[in-house]
Amino acid sequence: MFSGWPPPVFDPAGPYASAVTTLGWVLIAMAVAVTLVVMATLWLALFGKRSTQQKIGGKKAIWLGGIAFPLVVLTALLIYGLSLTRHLSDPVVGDEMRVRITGEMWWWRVAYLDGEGQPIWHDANELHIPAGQPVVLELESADVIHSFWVPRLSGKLDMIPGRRNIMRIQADAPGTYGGQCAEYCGGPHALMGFAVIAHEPAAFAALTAARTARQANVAATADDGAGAALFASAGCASCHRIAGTSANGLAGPDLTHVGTRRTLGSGVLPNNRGTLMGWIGDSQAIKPNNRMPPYANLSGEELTVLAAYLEGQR
Amino acid sequence: MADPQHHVTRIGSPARSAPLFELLRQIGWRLARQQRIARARAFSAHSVAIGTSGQTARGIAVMIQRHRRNCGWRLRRRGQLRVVHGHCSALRIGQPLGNPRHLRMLAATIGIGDHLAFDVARIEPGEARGANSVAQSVKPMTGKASIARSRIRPRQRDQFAGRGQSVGGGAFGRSASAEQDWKGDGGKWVHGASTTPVARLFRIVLAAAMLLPAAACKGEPQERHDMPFADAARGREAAVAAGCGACHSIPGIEWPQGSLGPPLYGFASRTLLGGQLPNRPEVLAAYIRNAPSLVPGSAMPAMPVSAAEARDIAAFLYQSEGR
Repeated sequence: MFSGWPPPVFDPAGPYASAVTTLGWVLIAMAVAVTLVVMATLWLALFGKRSTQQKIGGKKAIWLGGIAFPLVVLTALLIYGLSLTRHLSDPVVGDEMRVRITGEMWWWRVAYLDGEGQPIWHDANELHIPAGQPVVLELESADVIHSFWVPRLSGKLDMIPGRRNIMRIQADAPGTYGGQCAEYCGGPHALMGFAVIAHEPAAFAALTAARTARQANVAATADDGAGAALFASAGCASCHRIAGTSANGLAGPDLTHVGTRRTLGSGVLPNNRGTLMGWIGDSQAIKPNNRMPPYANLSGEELTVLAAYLEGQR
Repeated sequence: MADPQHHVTRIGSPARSAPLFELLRQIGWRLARQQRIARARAFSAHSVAIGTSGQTARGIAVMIQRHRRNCGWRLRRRGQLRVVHGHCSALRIGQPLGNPRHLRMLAATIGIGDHLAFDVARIEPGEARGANSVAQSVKPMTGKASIARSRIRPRQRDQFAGRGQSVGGGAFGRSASAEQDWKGDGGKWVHGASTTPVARLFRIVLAAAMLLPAAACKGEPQERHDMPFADAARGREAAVAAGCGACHSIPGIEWPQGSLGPPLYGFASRTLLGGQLPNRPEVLAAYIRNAPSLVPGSAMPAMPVSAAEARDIAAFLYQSEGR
């Protein structure tokens, strides 16, 4: 997810991430400068003239270099850092888009909110945003502490049970940006990836309209077909929701738009029919200890039908 | 078994297959079950040593020793060097094949050699010279088979079986008159000492001639699966990008190692793809792209890879040897 050069933290794609990157460079520069000063002082203390050694060991030097200098420098850096990144957690002030992202073991629940904070449509493991506009994320957790991190778009913020942390992200250009849980949250923590997809504003408006319309249609009308029947009878529907059908489980990721996802299993596999079948058949071999049981009772034919059905959920 | 004169071999069986095939299968199973080379080791020197004069045994053993010196270090490391007691007690022989997998692949071939060795051992000391010559002609063949890691292709195996039926009498085939019995009652014990040494020798030479095509049936994997325009490194990337690991564990791809489909190791030495297709590069590439079109009903779906990527993946699978 984060392969390639430069590392994503040094390759910001939006104003919030730029602030974090700038802060990072300043901290690195300061650390290098302080290290050089300390090394030079150490060299003088060991090999310098007798008078210099006495000066370095004197009370004055310790007060100045040992206490006053770090105090001033660190305080200045703290103030600078806080002022540079103070906008990262600004709450909604105008008509910014709001999205609630809930960390689960080991995936991400995504709900797009309206102005009052009510969910309009649901998704999982992916976030679609308009390019060039700030988006306010409400980060929550359903179980343990996770940490939301999309390094090219913003900073890193913990998702703490019982709290709602606000983080802003913005992508200046359309594209796909990788993310990752950055706080150890149990077994497959390393396999808890995320993707942010930034669209042109017009394309994003169209996508939102289509998905809102699909999810607003609460009547169970799309329940026909072998795939839907199998989805219900095999037990998938008790944990997964597909809007517009009787499948309304909330324990696992929402699968209403699973056919359009970039990845499966929360950023661990490419999404195609083969990987869908592999994931359904035995996800434990791919992402050990995830909460979805292996479905060894399904035949190859049934797996094909299910995968085709899920591919069609767009 | 201790008395070679009363070594009996079961030929023919309740299963309705040709006697030779049945014999090969039995020996093969026995070898594979044992997971070690006890019988083949008997072939290499031990049985010869009990049955013939010490002079001959030593001669054969030295030849075998020289032949297998190349893999001696591996055997020594595994502590499998053995001192064989008998006429040539100082003779050290080891496992001619490195590991159990190779043994299973070669079970049938080794089995024949094993059987031949018993026959050789049973020849009276007076005919030791004849035994020696037979052993010499058999040894390079089995030795070559072990080096090339060749196996008997099904077609050739069937040829074996067919010839086994036509070979008159003895441990490998059945006489024309006994053919009916075999088909009728299925299963009969033939006493090992029931034929004359000369007839047995003749049989051995005949069987040795039949072994030759088995030893030469496959070249080295690199030659058979040469794919000059494909790149295994690119193939690995393509396999990762397509998510093959979601269903298969593949040597060279650490993660994921899915369990839905079969593990994909050792393609260079497989005979069939998908249970029915010949193992050729272009077939494998086509299978990777669209398995259901080649094997209807296959649970493996068509994969989103280009034809070039499929060839690369095939090359990647052929070059990954591990398990």
